Parts: sequence; C-alpha cells; structure tokens
Amino acid sequence: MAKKILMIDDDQELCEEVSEILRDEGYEVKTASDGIKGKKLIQNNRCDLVMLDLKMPKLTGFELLEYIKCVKPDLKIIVLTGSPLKNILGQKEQEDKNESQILKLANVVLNKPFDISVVLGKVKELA
Amino acid sequence: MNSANFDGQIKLEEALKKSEEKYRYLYNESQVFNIIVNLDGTIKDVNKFVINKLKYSKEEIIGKSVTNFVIEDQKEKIKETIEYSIRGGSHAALDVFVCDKEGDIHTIMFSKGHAALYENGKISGLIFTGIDVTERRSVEQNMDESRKNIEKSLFFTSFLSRTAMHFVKNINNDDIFKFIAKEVYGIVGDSIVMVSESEQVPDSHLNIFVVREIIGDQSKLEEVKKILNRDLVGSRVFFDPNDEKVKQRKGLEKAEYGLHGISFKQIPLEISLEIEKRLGFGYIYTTPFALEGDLLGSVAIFTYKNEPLPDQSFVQAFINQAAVALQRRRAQIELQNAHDELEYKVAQRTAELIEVNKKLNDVKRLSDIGTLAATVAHELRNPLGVIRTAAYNISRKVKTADIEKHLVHIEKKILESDQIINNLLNYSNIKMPNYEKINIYDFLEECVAFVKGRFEKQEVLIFKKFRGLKKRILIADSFQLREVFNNILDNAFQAMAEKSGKLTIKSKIEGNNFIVYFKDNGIGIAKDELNRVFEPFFTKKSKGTGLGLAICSELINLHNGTININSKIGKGTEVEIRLPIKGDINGKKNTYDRR
Repeated sequence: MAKKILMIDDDQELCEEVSEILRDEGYEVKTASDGIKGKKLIQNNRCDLVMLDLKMPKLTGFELLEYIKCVKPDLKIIVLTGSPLKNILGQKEQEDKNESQILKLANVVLNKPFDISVVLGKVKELA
Repeated sequence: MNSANFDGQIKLEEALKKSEEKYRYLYNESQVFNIIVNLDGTIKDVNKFVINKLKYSKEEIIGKSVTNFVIEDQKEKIKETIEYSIRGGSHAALDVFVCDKEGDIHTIMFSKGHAALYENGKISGLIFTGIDVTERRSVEQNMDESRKNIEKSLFFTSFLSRTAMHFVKNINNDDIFKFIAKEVYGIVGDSIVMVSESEQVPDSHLNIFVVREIIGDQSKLEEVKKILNRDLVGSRVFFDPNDEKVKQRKGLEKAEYGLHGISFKQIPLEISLEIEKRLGFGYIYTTPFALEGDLLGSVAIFTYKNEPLPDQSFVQAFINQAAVALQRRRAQIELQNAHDELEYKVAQRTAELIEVNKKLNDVKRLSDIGTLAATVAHELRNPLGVIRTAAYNISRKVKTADIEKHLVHIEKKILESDQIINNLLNYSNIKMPNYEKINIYDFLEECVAFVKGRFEKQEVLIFKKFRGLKKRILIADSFQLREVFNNILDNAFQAMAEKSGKLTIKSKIEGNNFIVYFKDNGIGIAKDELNRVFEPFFTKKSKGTGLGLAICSELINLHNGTININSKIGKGTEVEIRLPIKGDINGKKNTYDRR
C-alpha cells in the first residue's frame, strides 16, 4: 500500500512540482494551500508524513505543528521553509522561545530552495 | 610879651603836645611794626610791638643795624632797601624775615614807602611800618602745597587709570612685570627696582619668586650682577617667610605689610639683603604685589643715595593698581583659555556625536536591512525553491545533454542567489556565539573541502599545513566560524579565478591562541582599499553584497579574536585569524546584540 504524504504550502506551484516527483516515486500525495485546509486534511485523512511550510495564511506552520503533535503525535513531519532557519534555531531563551521549541517538534527542517534529492532521502527515511 | 599871644602860644603848645602824645601813643601801642631808622642804617627807635615780637630789650635793639635782625639770606637786600630809602627812593611792599632772640622767624610785611622824621627842619630818620603776616604766609604756603598736591594726585589718578587700561588691553602676563618695573622706576627716580612674580609652592608655605625685571642705574646693576655672579632676571628665588633669622634682618619691618588681612614678608630676602650688604643701600622698600590675599609678586626698591623715597604712597598706589590690572589680565587669560577649552571640547563632542550618529545610522540601516533581508529571504527563497524543483523535474523528464547544460546553469544561479540572501541575513542578524567544542582539524578540512567543491572547475593547488592541530579542541560557535572560513576561502578562490591558483592554509596553536593563515596568489587588494575591506557594503567585485568580510570581522570580534589582512596588488592576499582556544565564555557575553 502506497505511503500517504500531505503537503501543506501556500505556494501552489511548489506543491505541484514536489507532489509530481513524489507520485513518480510511488507516494500518494495530497496538497493544501493554507493552514486551515491543511488542518482539515490532517483531520480527515490517514497519512504517514506531513510536509509543512511555516509562513502560511490563516494558520501558520507553527500552529499546525503543535496541533499535529497534539492529535497525532506519531505523525512524521518535514518542515520546508524559506524563513532564515538559523534565526529561528539560534534564538536565545529570552527571545521567541516558542518558535524554536515548536520547531523541535518536526523530524526534519529544511531550508528553501532545497535540494529535492535530499528531501526524497528524508521522505524515504521517515515514511 | 603879649599875654594874649602867650596864651595862644600856650594853647598851641598844649595842642601840639596833645597831638604828639596821641601820636606817640599810637606809635607805641599799635599792633604793627614801627621802626625808626637813623640815616646811617642803625635803629633809632622801635615800638612796644617790635620789642614784644623780637623778645629783645629796647636797649638791645637801639643803635644796632637793622640787618642784625633779619635772616642771613635777606641782609643784603634790606641794606640796599634802606640805603635806597635814605636817598629819597620809595621801596615796594616787602616781606622781611625777622629773626627773634630765640631764633624764631617772623614774616613781617612792610608797607610801600616810608614816613620821614624831621628834626629842626631836617630829616633825622625814616619810619617804616609793617604787619606780622607769619601765620597768613604759612597758611598761604600750606594752601599752595595742598593745591600742588591735589594737582599731582589728579595727574596721578589719571595716570593710574590710563596705565591700568594699558595693562589690560595691551600687555600680556610677562610684559606686565617689565612695565611695572619701568613705571615704578619712573615714580621713585634714581633707585634700583626689582619686580618678581610669585608662585606658591604647592603644599607648603614657601613662595618662589621669579625675578622678572631689574631696572635702575646701569653701573649699580652691573655690580649687583657681579655680586650675585648671575643675571637675576628670570631667576627663581626661594623665600621662606617663617625663617626667624631672615625676620630679624635689617629692613625687614619695611617689608611687612598687612594687606587684606594677610601679612606678607614677600621680598626675595636673600637677594635684597645680599645687595644691601655689599652695596650699602640706604633704604630698601619692598611692597607686596597682592590682591585679595593672592600674592602675585613683589616689588623691591633699593635707594642708594641714602635718602628715603620721595613719595612712597604713590608707589604703593601704583602697585595696587597694577595688582588689580594683573589680576584682571590673568582672569581674562583664564577666561580665554576656558573659552578655548570649551570650544575645543564642543568641537570634540560634536565630532564624537557625528561619529556616534553615523554609527547609529549604520545600526539603523542594518536593522532596516535585517527586516528587509528576512522578508526578501522568505519571499525569494520560495520561488527559488519552486524553480529548483521545476528544473529537477525538467531534467528528470528530458534527458538530453543539450537541455541538461542549461539546467546546470539554473541550479548554479539558484545557489548563488541563495548565498546572497544568506550573506544579507547573516550580517543583519549577528548574535552572540553559541560556544561549543570544535575539533579544529576536522573542521578546517571540512570547510576547505566544502568550498573547493563549489569551485570545482577552478585549478587551485591547496597546501595545508595544520598537522599539529590533530585532536585539538577549539571552543567557538561552529555556525559562525564556518561562516568566517567559508567567506575567506570564497574570497581566495574568487581572487584566483583568472589564473592557476595556489592556496596555502597554515595553522598552529600559540599559547592560548589558535592561529590560521589563508594565503592566496590572487589579484590582491590595493593599498588604499585595504583599510576599507571590513566596512559593510564595501566591495570591488562586480557581484557581491560587500558584507562577507564585515561579517567575518564582527564574528571574530565576538569571539574576542583578531583578523588581519595583508595584501599586494597582483601578488596575492594573506588573511590571519587569531582566536582564543578556550573561547571567551565569560568575556564579552551579553555585551553585544544588534537586533
């Protein structure tokens, strides 16, 4: 049975390009273009892996991360973000502790523009 | 004899007698000098008033020459006057100085001309009449002197105000002493005047006197110089006012003045006493040159004529005035200095403010850039991500070498764009290092391999000399250090793009420091550009943000290390980085954060 992947990113073209590759690799892919749609997708679908953008309209990736870990703690998560990763990870305690803490809930965090072969490697590893 | 005639004669005689008695009474009792002089110049008779005044008896006067009773200087004149009168002349009114028996002198003013005394129809004597004007003359003389004094005082007052103005306007601190010397000399005349400036020796009761000017009789001055074996002008003379021996010396009492409640013994005594002893000056005056308890200096006057000063009070007045002027002048100079100082400080502070402002602007600019960069990063990285994935999809679907070449270009440019975004982000968001243990040997190898991979096609020989580093641990922020090394190596590779490159990386541990050198044989940096390479946004490359070395410098600074660049245009560049091995965990922490 094919592994199921949910991709939540407000960049529709990215969703298309990535899901095409993933499908060709034998995965079942569903996409959502904002946080709310993503949340519904997670609620209504069984899936093995979520690929998540951070900066999204309506519901951010951080909020979704927390939600996922709440309702489906075993779900694997790959974060793909254009935000400066080092900024978030390198944040000191007195700064926005939340963001860096939440980001630790993800299994993998990758910066855009990512190398798709690296992404595929991580997907194979997690899903 | 006719009895009627006789009666008439008797009456006449009686009348005459009465008249004569009356005349004689007037002659004797009147409060004027009445002298009857014989034709030979001797005194025939005098009235009671004369006798009372001269305190001689009548016998002592009668028969004596008139000249016996006048002062020596007037004898000749009186003799001539009487001879002239005897010959029938009429003399003018005349003050005669008459000397009494006790030697006191009376001024008698004799009226013009004389009366003749007839006996038997012939002139037998001359009557002179005079009044005593001794007191009047004395008053007149006093008045005259007072008037002269007033005139002198007026002259002096105007002189003082003029000189005071002159002082303040035209004379500087040094000149003022020369000026005082000359003016004092002008007032006291032929003496030696010495003016010295006083300086209090800190924390002691001692005064130093610097002799500014000596003026006076040149031959005497030469002698003074000979005695002291030196030229005193500009000399420093110590004076201890509490020295008892010095106090007892002659002339010192004149040197003591109570001025504004403070008693000074301010003369440079060693000098004055020496000069006094050798030259035998008659009088020595020393005058403090002081104001409101402030001893500014002293003036010493040596008179060698053995005569006291003609007018000491004027000298004192002049010096007081000079003291006021000098103090004003000094206050003026002080004010000017304070003013200059203030102006200097204002200029300095302005420059500092401009500098701080510039830095603030830089920080503000960087902060703006930071915000901008974060936005741009996110907004650009997303499309870049799509482009990269799309290119991957194309290459997957169309496997021809022709298309593949273009896709490689796209991939390369995406990575370059990403690097630009990274640089912007890094510089605008530098943070305190997160210290961790780094195996420095492996770390360096890794960095070199990474950068070399990026410049695959370039022909570069790399010489690595860091064997001694094996298993050594450096405490630093690996993210930041990687950033630094990558930047330096990037620059080196870019500098050697046009020729076959040779890159030498040497590294060693020296004491508590880790030192690494990156030396390339690239295009080099011009001398005038070398001191600007660490400035943000300074770049000579056709592409690049100009932030690479600025980031390196900041990060190395945060690690309490140093970074230095030596370069020769056309020959190559050497970068030296020094870092404390143990990091600086307790050092600069929390002092720097620029967000």
